[in-house]
Amino acid sequence: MEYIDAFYGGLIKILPFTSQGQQAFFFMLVGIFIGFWVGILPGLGGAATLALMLPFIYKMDPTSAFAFLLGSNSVTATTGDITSILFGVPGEGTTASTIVDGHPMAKKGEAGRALGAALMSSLVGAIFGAFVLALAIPIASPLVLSIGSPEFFMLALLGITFVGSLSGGNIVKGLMAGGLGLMISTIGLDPIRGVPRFTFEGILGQGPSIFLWDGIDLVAVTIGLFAIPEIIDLAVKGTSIAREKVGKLGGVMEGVKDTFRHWWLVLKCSALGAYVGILPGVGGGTAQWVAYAYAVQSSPNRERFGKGAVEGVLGPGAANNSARGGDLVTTVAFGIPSSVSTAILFGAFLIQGIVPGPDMLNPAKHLTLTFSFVWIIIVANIITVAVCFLFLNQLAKITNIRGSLLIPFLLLLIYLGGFTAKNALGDMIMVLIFGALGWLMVQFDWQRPPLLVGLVLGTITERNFWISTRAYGAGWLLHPGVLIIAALIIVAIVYSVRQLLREKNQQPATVPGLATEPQITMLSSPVYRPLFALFFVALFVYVLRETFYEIRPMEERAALFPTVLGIPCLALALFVFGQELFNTLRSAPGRPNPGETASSPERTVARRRVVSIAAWTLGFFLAIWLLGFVVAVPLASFLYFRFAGGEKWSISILLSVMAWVVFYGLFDYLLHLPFPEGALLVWLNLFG
Amino acid sequence: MKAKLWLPVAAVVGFAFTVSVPTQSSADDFYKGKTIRFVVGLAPGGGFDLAARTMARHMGKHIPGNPTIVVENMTGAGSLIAANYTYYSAKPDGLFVGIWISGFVLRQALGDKAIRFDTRNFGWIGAPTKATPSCSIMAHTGLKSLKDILAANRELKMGSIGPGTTYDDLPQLLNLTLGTRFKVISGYEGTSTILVAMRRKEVDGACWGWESVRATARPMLDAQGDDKLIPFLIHRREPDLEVKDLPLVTDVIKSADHLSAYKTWGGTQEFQRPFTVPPGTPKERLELLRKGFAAAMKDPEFIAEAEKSKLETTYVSGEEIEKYVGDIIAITPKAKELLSFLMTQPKK
Repeated sequence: MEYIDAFYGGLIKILPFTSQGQQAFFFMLVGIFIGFWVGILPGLGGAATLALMLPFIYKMDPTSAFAFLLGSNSVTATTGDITSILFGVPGEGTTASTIVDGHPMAKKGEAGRALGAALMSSLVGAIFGAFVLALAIPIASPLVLSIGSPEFFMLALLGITFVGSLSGGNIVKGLMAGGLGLMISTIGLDPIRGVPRFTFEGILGQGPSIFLWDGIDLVAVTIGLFAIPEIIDLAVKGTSIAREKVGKLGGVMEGVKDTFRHWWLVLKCSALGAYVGILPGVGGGTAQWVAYAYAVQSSPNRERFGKGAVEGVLGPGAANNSARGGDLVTTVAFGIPSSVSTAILFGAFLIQGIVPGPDMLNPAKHLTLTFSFVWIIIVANIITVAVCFLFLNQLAKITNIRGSLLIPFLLLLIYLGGFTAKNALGDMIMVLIFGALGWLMVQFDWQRPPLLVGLVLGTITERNFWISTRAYGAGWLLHPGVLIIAALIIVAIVYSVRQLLREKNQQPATVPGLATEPQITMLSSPVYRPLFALFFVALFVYVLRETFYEIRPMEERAALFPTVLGIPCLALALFVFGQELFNTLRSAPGRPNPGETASSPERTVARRRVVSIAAWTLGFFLAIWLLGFVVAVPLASFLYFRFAGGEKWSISILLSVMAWVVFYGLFDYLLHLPFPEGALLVWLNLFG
Repeated sequence: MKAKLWLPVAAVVGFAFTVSVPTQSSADDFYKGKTIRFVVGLAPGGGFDLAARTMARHMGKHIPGNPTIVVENMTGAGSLIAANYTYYSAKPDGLFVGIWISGFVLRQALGDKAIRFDTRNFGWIGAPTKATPSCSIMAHTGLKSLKDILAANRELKMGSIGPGTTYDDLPQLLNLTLGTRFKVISGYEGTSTILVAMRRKEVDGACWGWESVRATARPMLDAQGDDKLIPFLIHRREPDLEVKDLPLVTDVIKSADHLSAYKTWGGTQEFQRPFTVPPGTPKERLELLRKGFAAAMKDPEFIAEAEKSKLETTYVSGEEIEKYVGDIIAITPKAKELLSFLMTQPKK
């Protein structure tokens, strides 16, 4: 049958057995090499790099061109997990969820295990996703056509209810965080009429406020929320990333075994990821959290999550890879990209003169090419994972290096990651703002994943609500798909609530052997918790005020979503405030918070270190802003190594030069990323 | 001064004199060994970015001195950030080129508070393409032509990406000038999403550039039965089979005021993806850039690349753009009033 021929032919085309295959294979290797580094380095977004690769594909034949591009794209989700686990900095937007349990595993000395689990599950996920691509394209048409905007809206709502599972126990705080995320997604120009919402024109002035028109960038928020608190924690603890030494049990092979121990979880999360990826306009960013929530829901002893449960690595690890396969289905079958990288792939299709759609399934036209995509994903991931395994254990050893040597590099990665999202300095400021928020959330036991889920799903929810209402009137509420999904939502909520009640009734069993880290809370005075909750109250009061007095007069439709969100969120905020206040009043004044095990002198030292690292973090930013990346990187690094880290002059200078060489060589000289000149230098130029 | 120091000091002073005396460097030598920055206001991967990068690969060799050209993306606010940067922050030294959407010229004319620059002051190098807005309807509506639509006099849903696009603007303009009853359904993520919505019968049609229609909706143009996409109106004569006999918008609009309003809106369609330099850029350098641009558009290698990637190219000179811009800014008060529905923000 022609399909089988094409299936087989697709493989032959990329293996180095024919001269054409040799070319394709070579370019795939180059793509893999590039994708490897793009995934690992937060500063290199998959999208920006794909764009840089585009010019090279003009001269290539289609198979080689896509071997090159896909080879890179399919690998970034695999290697991105590495940075997430080791440093708590997301290597890629789609690997943020791996931080939640992967990094705590590294801190427990189980970095190797986490890496092994992430990579193996990534491989499984990628292969699964590739097969979904192969099998789904023929049925993709009816599948995608059956999901109208109303059904999409309901699916987004379903996604939001997952927030409950990500709440780690305090469901109200989780919902609040989710609500905040949804609220943040409304910042910018509204998608229907282009009315600016919450762009702080009065405070920022016309010029800077248009930076907010496109909303707040997900990458900046993710990096800020997760990476900055980790850096502060690292500086405070004063140790290496890994706090303990664990033997073989923490090693890579253990992680591989884990993948097979939890085989069904891995497969189910792969399926989830692929399916979410198929949904047009939705990709790995959402899939990872859906899979994480599922992993939490379906595993015993949910309190383990967030503290280093391997299932929390396996689920997202598989899903963010299988989502790539799903993404490709819609891109290939419909030309609907689900992410910026698939959008660029779509551009590449056009450059090659290929129109996505029925042609891709036609054996006479491009079916073989389509199948070669499948094989590229599989082969590229096998190669990458195999190569990674060679030095994974060495990589894990980084977690044994003392923190003071790593911090400048980590700060550099963080700021690069923030800046290169949109080539905008404003995003670095976002990183700082959300970094502060993230740290406070950790201090006061608020979960961060729901915020990200809200942020990701907010825009999709709003757009589809309006399209549905405009296109169908109120009738869409009765569409069969809508009713089915509504039933699913109710089932999901009931199930979560039952689970919650059941767990509340059981005594929280202390699992032997799971050492929970002694919490040195900085702001342990009981006053702070209600204050933080009060911040949320104030925030939503502001939101509602803005909505009624500024947005509504301009365009009623733009005000609907913020109103529908704002009112329940305000109610929730008041509830949480009441809860925190009650807890504060109940505990005797002076008695430390539950879980607080550090003594007073320890706390003073810790407090000083927090202030210190906060100052250095801010200082790095100021240096970059005033002097430009090229000067700031070696200078700030040197100052940190020497004066904060207390390292010897020789080491300080050596490491600073290293940082500068890597930064300049890769980002400036090779990639020509448009780094802004230091503000100070610009001012001086005006006079000089 | 000590004798030993005398000579080196003299040498330094003498050297300083020689280099500060302006040498007879013609503008021709200016670009030698230099790098020109193209700053693109939209994201990589789209046609906008593609056009800039393709031009960047070929324009350098048509400028005396063969400068290198690097392309950067400065996205945000639909290229407004890039436009602002070009106007206010970039150095007007002939080494900076900003590429942003021509729609801002119309927005300035309509008094949009967000446009804080005067588009007449930019240096216009040229534009690589014109847009040809067109409107199409799905066969499932049972309608086949503009006449059918006007006769049927029923509400038709037109998909749109968002305000400020042809998807959004043109149906509303037609409602105003022809009495059609198009309902704009805004919020779709991209052209392909709208195409899927059409097949799903969620919307009935859409108005957007013909260059894009014939490239991405080819299968639907060729389809049979309910899934067929039927163009019914176009801005400018195009030779393709599906559109060569279609009515032109300017032919069907009767009232003079309405026509003037449409022509003002249509002005921005005449120069798309324009290449601009900051105000104050020296005239000779702008001239060199204009000549380089024009020559690159005729370069066989450029044309071959553009064809391969289905990039529409039509050369529009800088001088022509200046005229279009002038005409748009000189909008009549009546036309401004008629087009005021395009504004979504409070006016200046």
